[in-house]
Amino acid sequence: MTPFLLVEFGSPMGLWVGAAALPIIVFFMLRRRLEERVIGSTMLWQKALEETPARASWRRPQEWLSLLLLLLAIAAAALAAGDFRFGFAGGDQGAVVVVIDVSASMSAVSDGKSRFEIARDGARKIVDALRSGRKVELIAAGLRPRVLSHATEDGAALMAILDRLTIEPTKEDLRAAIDLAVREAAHVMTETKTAEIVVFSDFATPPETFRDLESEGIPVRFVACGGDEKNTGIVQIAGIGEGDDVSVVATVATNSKTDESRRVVLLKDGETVDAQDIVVPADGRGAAVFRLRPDKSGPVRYSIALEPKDALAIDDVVYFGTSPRPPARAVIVSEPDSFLDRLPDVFPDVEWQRVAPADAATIAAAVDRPFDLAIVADAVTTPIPATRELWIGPCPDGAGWTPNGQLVHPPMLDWATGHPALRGVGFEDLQIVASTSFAIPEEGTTALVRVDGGAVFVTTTQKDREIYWWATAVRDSNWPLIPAFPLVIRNLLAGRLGAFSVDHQKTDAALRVPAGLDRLKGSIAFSAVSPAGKKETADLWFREDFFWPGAPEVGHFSFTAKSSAGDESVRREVGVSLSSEPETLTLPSLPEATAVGKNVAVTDAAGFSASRPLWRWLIAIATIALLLEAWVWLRR
Amino acid sequence: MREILSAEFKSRLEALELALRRTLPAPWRGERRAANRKGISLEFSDHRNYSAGDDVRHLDWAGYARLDQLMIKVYHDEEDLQIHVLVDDSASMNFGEPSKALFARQVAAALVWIGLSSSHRTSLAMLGDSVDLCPRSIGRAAAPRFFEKLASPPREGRTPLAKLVEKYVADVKPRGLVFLISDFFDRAGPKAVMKPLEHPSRELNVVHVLAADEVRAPEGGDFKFKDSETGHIVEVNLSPSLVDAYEKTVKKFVAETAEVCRRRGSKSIFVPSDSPLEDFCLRTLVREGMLR
Repeated sequence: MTPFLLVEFGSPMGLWVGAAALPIIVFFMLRRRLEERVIGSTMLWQKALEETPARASWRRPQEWLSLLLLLLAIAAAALAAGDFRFGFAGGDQGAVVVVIDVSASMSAVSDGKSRFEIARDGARKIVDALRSGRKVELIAAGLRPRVLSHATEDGAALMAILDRLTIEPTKEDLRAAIDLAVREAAHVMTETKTAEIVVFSDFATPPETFRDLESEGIPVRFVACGGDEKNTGIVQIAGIGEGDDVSVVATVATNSKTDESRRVVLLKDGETVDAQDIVVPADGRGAAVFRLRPDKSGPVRYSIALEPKDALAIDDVVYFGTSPRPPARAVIVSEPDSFLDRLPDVFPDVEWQRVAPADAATIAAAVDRPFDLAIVADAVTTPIPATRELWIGPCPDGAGWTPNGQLVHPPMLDWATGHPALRGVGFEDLQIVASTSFAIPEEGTTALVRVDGGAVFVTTTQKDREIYWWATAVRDSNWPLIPAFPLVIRNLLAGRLGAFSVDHQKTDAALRVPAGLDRLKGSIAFSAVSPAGKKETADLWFREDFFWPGAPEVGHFSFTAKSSAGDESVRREVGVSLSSEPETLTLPSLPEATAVGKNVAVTDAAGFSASRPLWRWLIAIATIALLLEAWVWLRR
Repeated sequence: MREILSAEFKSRLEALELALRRTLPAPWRGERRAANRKGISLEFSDHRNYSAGDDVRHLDWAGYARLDQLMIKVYHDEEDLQIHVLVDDSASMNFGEPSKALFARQVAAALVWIGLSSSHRTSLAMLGDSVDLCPRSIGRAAAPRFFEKLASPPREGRTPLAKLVEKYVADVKPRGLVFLISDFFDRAGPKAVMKPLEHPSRELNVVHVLAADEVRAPEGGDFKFKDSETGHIVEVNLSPSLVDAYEKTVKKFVAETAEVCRRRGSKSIFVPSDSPLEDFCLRTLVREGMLR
């Protein structure tokens, strides 16, 4: 393809500035119409003009030179005001790998245009320059980056892809997207010799994070899209249920520099049932708590919304559902223990089963589905299946741990107060007589409580279950005597207590629902309907999980599971929401155009162009022209 | 028709006399004079005040001793004097506010009046496209004819002044006192204009008139100046340097004309056309010795 000139005008302001040339030209032409006067004789004037020969000789062209300089200055100023851009596009210009952030925060709107639209316009400009024969590759940076189109010269196809591209209601993994872009650029360079990467994003991940790109040797341009829109959104909801009471706490956060007032509205099946006015402190959090009165006959759709909505609306509403559910199931595997035997009284809504260690193997074989919680206080050879297991005392065989010996009177040092298992739990009054110290494996295990000499409460996650170990036998500490132990049990049963389940998931993970909802057995005919009405079905075994294909949409998903064993069926409503803090709270201040490195630069989308801006050169030309004009005028 | 000179001014002019700086030979005695030079006696007529350029042989030393005042003896030949007044009537004279033509005609009228009042044989020539002559006359009774010609509209002639002066001299052969009133805008230069008038039988007085607008350049701007006689056009941009150069050129022009006159024994006086007429005639001309 033959090279061509790429010329752009970014602003119509240049037309107004250029219009200033018209009165100047008219004035000049009028001035050129010299006043004619008849005088007695021109003899003396001729002699006087001869006295100044140097100026007389160039007097006439001097005026034209003056006009030309003035017009040049106006033309340059007009082009600068019009944001004139010039690009010589053509020939073997290499390839451009375009990365477009399609995460949820790109839907933030300012001045009538979303960040995503700004990014897409920038990508279109690059594609528009394809007439030169340059290749462009498109990559979408969402939860998982994907190549929309490999490097191609087909501008029409690229434009069609851009037209169809939509925002995903998730956070983005910009790092992964850029790494993908670097690999793609390296591959393309085997054909085109040169390549560059252009990233359109609002930079929840700051560009400075990517300084290591400098070493790749590929020019990278980060184009910041959007403005400093402040955002207030719902970042978390938590259901608290005990018995028939269900409460939902909605946490609202803001990155505004001033306090933000919002009305938090609870909707049930689309109808407003409750509302609260809250004030979210500047750059802080607030909360609204709603008490729900779910319907015991079936699932209910709820949503919590903020009013008014702001520039980023996707996090101003969260969705969840409530469904009646059977009580939690828990098993205690131990010899008779006066403390452990009282747990059923503490948690009467839980279905408890008491098993002697000798019977554990039998029970394990007979159990057709995992318990919600298994508390094992004595050594067993065959663990009873449970979603969560709490081992008190010895480490189970095969756990892969090495006990380091006894801890005697170990003083308490610290515990992981943020871990869900320890929420609300305090060990200030803990006294340990004897305990086993665990050597923590390097990976996969977290110490929740540490004492001098080692950890005494650790956790690890294995396939389909969470395991907790408390290194002290019940009799070897005062743990049961302090409120800590029941609180730990409560935390481990969290989400399973209460007559209702509060079903909510975030978009940053695949939507997953157990096929055997509420203890359905056998083969399950499973179906799901998305908020947009898309339907998926599957035949699953009751122990399997159903995965919604692709990124989940924001809204209510309806699931129906029907067991082949009998006519039992269960329906569940699961709300899917963004509520992703990196997307909602980190609406970045756009960096000034700066070089992050020699090869890496950041520009503002308003100033982005496939061609080079020339306003600096034009201002320089205008200034030089005006200075020359002043010199010519003074010399007259 | 408006009087070219007011009655009051004319009466004041009557007190003045046209002044000769040297003795001029009477025309009918020229041959006899040449033959009987030593035998000529000139009859004394009167005294007049001495002016620079007068022949010092005619100083009345006795009168000086008596009155402590330099006086020149006037002889009859001086009284019987031909007066020739030449007025430049070219297009360039009809310029200025007041116009040079008007001023020149008024000065000419004053000189004619003095000449006629003094019973001198006075003639007038208007130099436009041709020589328009008002023949010699004596006595005030002839004044109206002269004044009528001087009051007529300017001719705005385009014939070079030097040629007209040359023709006038060839036709009229003037003797006596000659007044030439002109702006001297002749590309041939003042030398060419005055050369035909050089003759021992004539004494030339030059009144060099320029308009006030010609002496000083107009305010800044760009102009196309068109020559009223030749139609030649000059485009000027009145920069400070050009204005300065022009005013120097004017001064040089006036000085050059005066120098040409001086070298030929003639008297020259420069006057802008906006000068008060009476002051010029009653004082300046007397001070310069053209009148007494």
